[in-house]
Amino acid sequence: MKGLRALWLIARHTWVEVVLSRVFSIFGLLAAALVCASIFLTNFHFGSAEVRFINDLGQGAISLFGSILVVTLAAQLFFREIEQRTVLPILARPVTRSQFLLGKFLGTLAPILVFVLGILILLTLLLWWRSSSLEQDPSVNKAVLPLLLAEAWTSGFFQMLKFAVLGSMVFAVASFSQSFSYTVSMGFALFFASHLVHLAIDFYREGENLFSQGLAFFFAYALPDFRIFNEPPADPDFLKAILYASTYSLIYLFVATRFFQRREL
Amino acid sequence: MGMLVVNYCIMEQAITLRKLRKVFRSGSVRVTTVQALEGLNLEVRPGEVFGLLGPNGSGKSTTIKICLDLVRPTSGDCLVFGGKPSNPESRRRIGYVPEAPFFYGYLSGEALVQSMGRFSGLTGADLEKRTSEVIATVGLNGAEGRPIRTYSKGMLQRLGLAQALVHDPDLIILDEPTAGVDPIGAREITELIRLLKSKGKTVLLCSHLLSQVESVCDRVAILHRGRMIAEGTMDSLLQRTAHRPSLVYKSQQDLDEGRRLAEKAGISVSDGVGYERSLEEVFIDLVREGAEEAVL
Amino acid sequence: MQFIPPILWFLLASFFAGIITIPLRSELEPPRQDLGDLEGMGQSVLIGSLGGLRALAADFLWLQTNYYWQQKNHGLTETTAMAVTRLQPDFPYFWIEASRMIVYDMPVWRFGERRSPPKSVEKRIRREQAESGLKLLSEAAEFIPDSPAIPAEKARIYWTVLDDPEKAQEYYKIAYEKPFQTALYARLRALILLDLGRKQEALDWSRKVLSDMNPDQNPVQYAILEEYVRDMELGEDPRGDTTVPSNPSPAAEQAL
Repeated sequence: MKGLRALWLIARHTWVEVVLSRVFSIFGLLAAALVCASIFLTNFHFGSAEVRFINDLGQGAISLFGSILVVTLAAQLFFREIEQRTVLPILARPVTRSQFLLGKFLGTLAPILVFVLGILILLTLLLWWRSSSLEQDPSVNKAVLPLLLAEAWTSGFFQMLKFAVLGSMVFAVASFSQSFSYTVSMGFALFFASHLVHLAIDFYREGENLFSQGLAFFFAYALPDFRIFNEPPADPDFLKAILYASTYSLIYLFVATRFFQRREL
Repeated sequence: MGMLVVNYCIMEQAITLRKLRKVFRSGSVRVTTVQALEGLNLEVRPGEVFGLLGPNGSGKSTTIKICLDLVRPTSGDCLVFGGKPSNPESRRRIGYVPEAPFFYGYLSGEALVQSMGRFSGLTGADLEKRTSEVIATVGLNGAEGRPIRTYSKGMLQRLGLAQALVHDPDLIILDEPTAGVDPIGAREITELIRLLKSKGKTVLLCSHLLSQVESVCDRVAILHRGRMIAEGTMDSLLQRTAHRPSLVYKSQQDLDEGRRLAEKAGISVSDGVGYERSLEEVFIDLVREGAEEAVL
Repeated sequence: MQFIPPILWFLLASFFAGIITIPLRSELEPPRQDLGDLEGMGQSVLIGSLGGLRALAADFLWLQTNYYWQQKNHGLTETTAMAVTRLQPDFPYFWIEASRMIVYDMPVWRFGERRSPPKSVEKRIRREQAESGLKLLSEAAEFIPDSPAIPAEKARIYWTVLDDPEKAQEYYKIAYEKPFQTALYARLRALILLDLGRKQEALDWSRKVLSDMNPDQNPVQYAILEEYVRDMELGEDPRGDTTVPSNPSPAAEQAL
């Protein structure tokens, strides 16, 4: 129970830091603005496809701004504690480094979850509003709102899983990195690389010699496949997706705690 | 039996360092090493105020951080109340004031102290009571509700002390507690250290303010380039034998009369100069007088 | 441990995670898409990098397609429309709209200044554009084989542009047999069969479709088709005295 208490206290502090940070406010507002800007799509008279465009805008906002927030906030919050030495009086107490790191991770992810939920609620309202308006449009057979909402919330859930994996990746890098800029750069590099693992898989399958195949195999499986989170199927297997994300997250957090244990403060 | 006695003695010590060595390595391609500590042996007894002195880079902060598990030793042992610092329970009895403390700016002083108290296991009414007590002790009454980002350096130092004391630790480690603090504040901190000692607390004081160390420490160790070059009580270090005993008079007239009487009695007087007050004493007196006039 | 760079330890741990999740990944990963035709727009690396923004990028590119469409820019409209279909190949809307631009709008652009070209020229141009549209829709069928809208659009092109009701009824049948079994396509097939003089086949087909339908699920469509069957059994044209042409426009088709 004591361990959970320390975890909760650190997560709570981190939550407040995130919510008060300008990065969070700015990107949260930008995402909301992008979603709201979809009302201008009415000028194009796309018909029923307009609700799909609105959904795509919402998902794009969650994906883009959520990813930026996860990488920058995770790195910023970690290094701020080290550089300002606010970590010292905490770790001088009966708080382990693992508790500190995990608390930071959970405290970073919780506001991201709120961000995703906020955008999804905004998206739901916009989709409901436009869908109702479009029912009067003779070119539209019927609005596909229930399906689209299910798709939107499913996509939001999968994006959240991606953010958990991405966040744990960034914490792992931060635990041994000596600078904030290196951590952020590596975070974004790993983010993009995780979208391209399918190229390594293709290379591995089409490889001509053992060495190139071996190398391709390593890179194909050295990083998680973020396409799984970006393109969930119509009938997704939630449990398997959670298991996939959890496996990576737990291993990255284990790496993070191991390196942080050895870090000189 | 002898071994039992020895071990019992070790268990009693607040801090025991045996052949402590620390080498810092940096870089991955071109590795550079810095030997911060070299075979340090040291003991801090319960209930004493122990001063750790030395120039910059002598290993004082490294020693403190090893005692708090913020840095891991390369070799050697460190025990705090008989337990390893890496065990979180060992740190439950420690209060630590870092050098130039910095805290979450958005919190109030009171909220920070409460937070730190919670980390140390305090809850409910006990936590509130202790928070009020330590805030009063360090002299932050009236400012505890303000955000920390509005605090001056001296107030931050006091807050550092408050968060270190909230859980009533047995060992208080102070790393340069008077750095950046005005003379009145420094004197108050010195008084606080004396108060802690009177309550049976152990204090490890790391400072290069020699006058403060001299006035409050029972024993000191002097480090230089990672090695201990001297250790002992204040008396043994200062060798307070009557080398050149002095007599202090209140005025120049009294001094002249005293000199005349001494010479008449056949006592040789090597020198007689007017006693000069230090700048610190003048400053303190002036400020205190000013404060009293303002009240009137 | 200190001689191995930390980033390598990170990759090794990540690789370990990748190995133990191979069974999961093979079940969760999306189907492989052939993005080899994207030379003009960007390669697979760019598309992959877009990640969750792919749909959004397609939407913005579609807005640009509409801009070029408004400018009546044949080349750029076609290029960007093709790029959009590759960016988001699982969304039928882009394929269908792109094909409509090619089949219905571009012939008019090609006529240019000549508002009423010679009939033979008009026919040739429309046939060429219709074949381009059909080719695009055939590609669409490879990406979204279960979509009924794609064969339905083909049927419309055969019916309204190429004047080939035989092919049209074939594709409406294919469209109906896809998931969702849209009753509209079944009715249109019946009407085409009537126009071809195959009244019994039209009646048999309508009866079969009616028996497959659930009246509670879609009462309006059920009632309309029931009336069709009744009229055909009485030897009447279900369209009655309406002036609905044999080759309806998409809007009129919806009204049916």
